[in-house]
Amino acid sequence: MSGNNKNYDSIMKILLIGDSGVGKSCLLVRFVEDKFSPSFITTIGIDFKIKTVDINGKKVKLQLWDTAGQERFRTITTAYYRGAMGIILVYDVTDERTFTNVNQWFKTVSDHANDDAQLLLVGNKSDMDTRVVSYEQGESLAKELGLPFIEASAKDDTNVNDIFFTLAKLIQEKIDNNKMSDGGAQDSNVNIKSGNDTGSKSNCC
Amino acid sequence: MSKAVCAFKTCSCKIITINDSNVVNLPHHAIETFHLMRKGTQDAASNPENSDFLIVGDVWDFDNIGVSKDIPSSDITELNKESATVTEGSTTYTYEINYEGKTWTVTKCVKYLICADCDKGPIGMICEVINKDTASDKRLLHLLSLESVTH
Repeated sequence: MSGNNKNYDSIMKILLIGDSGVGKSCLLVRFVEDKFSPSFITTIGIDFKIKTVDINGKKVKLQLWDTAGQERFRTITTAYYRGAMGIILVYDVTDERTFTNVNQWFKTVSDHANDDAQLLLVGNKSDMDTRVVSYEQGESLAKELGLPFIEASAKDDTNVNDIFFTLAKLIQEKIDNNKMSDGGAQDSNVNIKSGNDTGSKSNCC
Repeated sequence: MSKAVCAFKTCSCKIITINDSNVVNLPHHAIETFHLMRKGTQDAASNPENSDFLIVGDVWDFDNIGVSKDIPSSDITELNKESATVTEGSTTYTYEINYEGKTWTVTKCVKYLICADCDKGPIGMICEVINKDTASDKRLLHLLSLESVTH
């Protein structure tokens, strides 16, 4: 029975949040079209990904979710935030407006997400020549909001994996310090750990 | 137990550890019915009778996996129609899976599975299945196509 023999130490639900066009999806999916990445998949879109990382010898499974365009209508539902242990606030370093809107997103997240959710600010598209938001500006906003900060380019995989690893490490440290209980995540996302009735799990969005 | 990894050498992302007791045979036509990726090296003409699939009950059993949104037209009869070839005429395939001591019939293909690192695929799907004996008990199963990955 697969349900009784868990092959991980922790699971973490992680969300990508920010204005549309900042490249949240690119942090999750590479839209490379070739014969092995058929267009019907990119048309359907990605619901979530599971990635396993090693944090200090612990096997941590991350479930990564993108808002999939809902942000355009500001209709991201409370359900989306439920059980999220990590939230990545993304802006585009080539688009000042998305940087300004980080404050608004920060407020929205603070209203809806668990109080103990770990946030991370990410300045995306750092490889672009058309940058208008400097690294220092990003760093300073992060300091103001009390968030850790990373710049990323979806073109550089190492960098993207860094984001997820850094966030997972911060969350794991919280768990280890008992600041964030595993139980809390379980309450709000009951199906994930409860075992045998797998029927509804993949439908949870 | 062996490991299933992405078939592309430049990726080789670890997908899951294969529990051999959860490997089932489906008619080879499943690869067409569900539009699954064939490994690059594979000779399409070889066309064996059966294809191996790893049945996974819980999505958290995967180490690394990408899951698509819901597929618009996912009913098995629709999929059969789409993938039917001229020579086969009106042949419809039924896919039955023995898992955890029960026989399940695939009724719908709900989502696709892709590699979590390089996004190539589909390497499998999430299916709605119904208990063949009771014809009522429904659940979702993850089917990883072992022909679409290296193991």
